[in-house]
Amino acid sequence: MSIQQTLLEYITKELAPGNPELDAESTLAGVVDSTAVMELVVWIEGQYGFDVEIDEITPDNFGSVKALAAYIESHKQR
Amino acid sequence: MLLQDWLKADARRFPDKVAAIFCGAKAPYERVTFAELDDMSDRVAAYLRTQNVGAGDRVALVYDNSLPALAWFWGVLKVGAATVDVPTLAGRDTIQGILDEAAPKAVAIDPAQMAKLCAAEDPLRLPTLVLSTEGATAPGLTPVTLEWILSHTEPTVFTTPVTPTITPDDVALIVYTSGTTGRPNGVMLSHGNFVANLTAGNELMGLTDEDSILVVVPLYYVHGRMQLLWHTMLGGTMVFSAGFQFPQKVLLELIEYGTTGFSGVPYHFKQLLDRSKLTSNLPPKLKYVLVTGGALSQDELRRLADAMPGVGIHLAYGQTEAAPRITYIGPDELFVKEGSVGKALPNVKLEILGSDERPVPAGEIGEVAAGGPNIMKGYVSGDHVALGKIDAQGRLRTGDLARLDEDGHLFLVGRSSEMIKSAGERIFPQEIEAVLYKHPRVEEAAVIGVKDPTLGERMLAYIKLRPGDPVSTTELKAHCLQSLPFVRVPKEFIVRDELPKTGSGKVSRGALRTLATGVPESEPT
Repeated sequence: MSIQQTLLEYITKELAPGNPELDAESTLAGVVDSTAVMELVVWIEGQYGFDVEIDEITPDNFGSVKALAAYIESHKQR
Repeated sequence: MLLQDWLKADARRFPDKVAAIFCGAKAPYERVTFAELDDMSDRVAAYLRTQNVGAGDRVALVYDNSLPALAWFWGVLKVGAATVDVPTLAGRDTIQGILDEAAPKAVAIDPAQMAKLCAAEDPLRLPTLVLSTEGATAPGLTPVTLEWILSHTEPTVFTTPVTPTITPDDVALIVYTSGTTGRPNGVMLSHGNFVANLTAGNELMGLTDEDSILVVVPLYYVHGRMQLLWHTMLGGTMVFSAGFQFPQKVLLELIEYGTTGFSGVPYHFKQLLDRSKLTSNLPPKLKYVLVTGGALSQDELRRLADAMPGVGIHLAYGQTEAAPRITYIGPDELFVKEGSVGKALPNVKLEILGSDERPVPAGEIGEVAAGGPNIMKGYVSGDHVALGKIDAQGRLRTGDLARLDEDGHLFLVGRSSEMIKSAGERIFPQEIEAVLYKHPRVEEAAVIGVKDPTLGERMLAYIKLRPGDPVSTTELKAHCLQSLPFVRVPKEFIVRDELPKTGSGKVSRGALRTLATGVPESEPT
């Protein structure tokens, strides 16, 4: 399963269950609040084995599933 | 003195000074000067007057922080009506309950909220006069937009006093709070309540028109309204953050806009300490921070002080019903009177009452009662006396347990209510349990808060299911998210065959807390 799919599955199961319209392109603003972002960061660190730096937790990286998947992809490979 | 007189004075003193900046907003609503805001709200008031909205009427505001929200707010006050602040974070049913109870003559609702609340299967029932901003649509609604009002209404009708019948004793704002009684309460606050509280508070803090503040809390909470009214009183600039979703971004906003102040609840400060580079990147112009809505632990206060050398840490304790501050402690005493939330404001009479309703001697624990010109006019529901929030002496009964020391410093020791404070939100277990009970398989539900290093308290839901197949946590969470925002959804759902009961047969939250933490507790009475 691609990172994007895994991520989408996690978000739709844990952070926004019952939100059928969520897809890779959808904005995460309004879906993930500050407490959900924290849960997401903890999950990413556990799942992909790298530390998410504080100044990388930005609207650019966390704005959509697609953007976040790209961010994870680039850090996983380091 | 009426609250809107402050805006008029600012427009005269500093017409071209920026009154408010909205980070991340789109043109033309990114920033506004005092003269512009005064003019916009004059036009709003002129329009409202043509719709027969005036003294004694209410206008509900269902808006997230934005420039239009300020224009509506001041326009409503200028026409002599009272605003009704509706927490957009509350679920649809709570919002409907507020509108039904407050019975506003008009509602201003922002396009995003309208899309969410008025297009659903069960759309929000609104008064006839619906105000909004361009782009708002919902089936069957034709809102009057702010843009239309600004281009079709002349503000000149306001050369004569608009609201001769309004006095400082009249209600200006109704702020809904989850309060301490287990249901949303519409707290009616007068012009005089805020004038008294802000004047007394500023005597202690000494801010001037050169001060400015970054606002991260919604305007519909009294914490947000306080910052707005305070800076209007001063003629200081307010910068509205794009939101607290990304703490590092908030730090960058503090640096970019160079505000001298910041006010937050403990959650905000913990987030800034743990999830931003505050320590290595101190905003150069930041002069003070104000911690409200619960005390940080002494360790955390020290961490904050270490992270921000030269920045004064101020702490205030209060309730919406007190418009809102009751006590205050400044940087000089914060580490001298460790653990104290400060002394009563100059015009507040603070008492600690024992079980016999009489003040107890210094050092003894009792309920915090506060009297003074800042205490609310009452609840919209009219039962503030019956509920015991306002007693026979006119004092506000806070429901908080505390002691006073010999010098009059207040030390909170607990809450006598069940309120959960999580991520800066005040949450009543009953509100969440009511949502859980709507799930067809839930037979019993109880929600408790347990200590959490990041959230303050972490919400757990204990559930007994009706006979049948298991129900997944995901399903329960999805069910809650239909009516509640993420922050108000329990973090864990624990299904049990039986839930512990009190003597009267109700689910015992105290026994569940013991179960969750392993620490036995005595239920507050």
